[in-house]
Amino acid sequence: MRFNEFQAEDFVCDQSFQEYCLGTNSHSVIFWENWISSHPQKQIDIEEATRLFALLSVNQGNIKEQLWQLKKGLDNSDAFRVQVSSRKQPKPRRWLPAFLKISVPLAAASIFLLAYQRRWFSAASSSKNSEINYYHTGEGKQTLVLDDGSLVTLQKHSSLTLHDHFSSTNRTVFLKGQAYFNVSPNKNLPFVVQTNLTRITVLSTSFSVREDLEKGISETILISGKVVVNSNRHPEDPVTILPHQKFVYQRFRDNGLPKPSIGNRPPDEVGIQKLEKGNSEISWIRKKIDISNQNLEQIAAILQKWYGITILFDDKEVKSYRYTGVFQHENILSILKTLQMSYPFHFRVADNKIYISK
Amino acid sequence: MNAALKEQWDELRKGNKEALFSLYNSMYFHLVRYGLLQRAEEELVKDCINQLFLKLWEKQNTLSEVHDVKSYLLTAFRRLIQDELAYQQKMDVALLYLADSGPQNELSYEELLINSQQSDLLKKKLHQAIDQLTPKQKEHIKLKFFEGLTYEQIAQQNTLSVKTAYNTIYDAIKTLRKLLK
Repeated sequence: MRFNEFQAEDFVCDQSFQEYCLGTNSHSVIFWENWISSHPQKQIDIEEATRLFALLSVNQGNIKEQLWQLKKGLDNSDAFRVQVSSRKQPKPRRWLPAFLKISVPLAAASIFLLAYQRRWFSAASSSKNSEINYYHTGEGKQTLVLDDGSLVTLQKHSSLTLHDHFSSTNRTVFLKGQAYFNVSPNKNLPFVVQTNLTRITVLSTSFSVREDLEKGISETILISGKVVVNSNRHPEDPVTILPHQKFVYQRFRDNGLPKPSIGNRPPDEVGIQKLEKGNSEISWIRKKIDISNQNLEQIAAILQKWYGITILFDDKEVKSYRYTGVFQHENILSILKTLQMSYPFHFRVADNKIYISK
Repeated sequence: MNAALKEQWDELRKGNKEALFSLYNSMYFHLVRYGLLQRAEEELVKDCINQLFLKLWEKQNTLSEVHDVKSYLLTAFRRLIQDELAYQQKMDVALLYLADSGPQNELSYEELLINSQQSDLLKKKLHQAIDQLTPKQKEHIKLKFFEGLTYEQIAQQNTLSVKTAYNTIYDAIKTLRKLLK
């Protein structure tokens, strides 16, 4: 590829490299992040180019990162406002239909709810073209509800970039760090997680991805469903992983440093391991949540803290509803749906916050 | 651009958060450049931009109809920077700034480039490097890296071919890179 021949000045003058530095085009950002990490031998040129670009643009900054800062600021000020005054909804509310309040056998109900939920999400996403396509976590983890209804829990110090037109023409995301995915099924649009080392194509599933660029290791753990992983270096050689298997990819590094090793495997190796029962590697997302006769306000506080998503109440009364139950291996929406079965309330997701009402 | 900004503004007044983000995307680089040319530091500029948009969101219900959204935002932004500088007790800077506000006293791109460097050595090096560029190269570098124009736009503005615009910039970057090493 022509970029291999590039020197610093060629990168600086490249239009798409400039877009990557400024964050003005998701496609360029994803392309260059990926290219840079798979060409460590060009690191010095890239660094010089980045410095030169920053100097000449007088550090105007990266708009994606700046917009994300604004979003954080807005969330904080919104949360503050909710604390000081009871919330008034400016927009018309979207309720789930009233007949769902009737208690029905659990299995049938959850299938229906899932189907309904999905339609609701797609209706919501078609009406807007979201401007936020970059998420970044600091010290705490955070759960995101994407436009296609998929849930992503980002571990701390991780970032997720959505491809332009996510959920309308593609479902491609770019991950740095670690995240747990709960993908909503859509046969026509495969969900693709692009990382620096690997490309993971998802066929309706939940799985966890961890990438450690220092060590050049990428791990994919599958919880349910089926995924296909391609390493960026050998995309012609895909690997399918099955539930409770862990896929490890380690990139060969020729930087003269001692080679890191997992076990005794040689570098640039692909391996599949069976996950032991009670494995601690996914415990950051799989916690047993034990609720015994606690009210919804307390439960919301527990869920909010654990999943890293803001939960707000539209009604005061609903806060005092009491529940008992034990949850394991579940995402936040399925926990709320199960709670709804035992004593009904409504919730909706908007703007990556969960609103609970009577 | 004005019509699009106006539409985003009106949507924002109705409480549409996506419109706030669209407005941010349309205005961010205009505001950064404007702030930098007003002698403010880069960190302060970025901070004030986010403050401006947080305020817009807080005041969404009381925002009035505006015809020239861009000038309105630039004015509001200038006041914010002014307040922030005064607040930071940088009275000398703020006074200087107040004394000569107005576009005629904006920094030139070259002054800005040199001012934004921390070390005196780098300032000197950069000054010498820029001196080696032709006026045309300086102008093109500014349009490309400060104004953020595409090669097509630069070519059109100067009635050149895209290739010539690219080559002018490429040669300039090569010179700068060599001299800044």
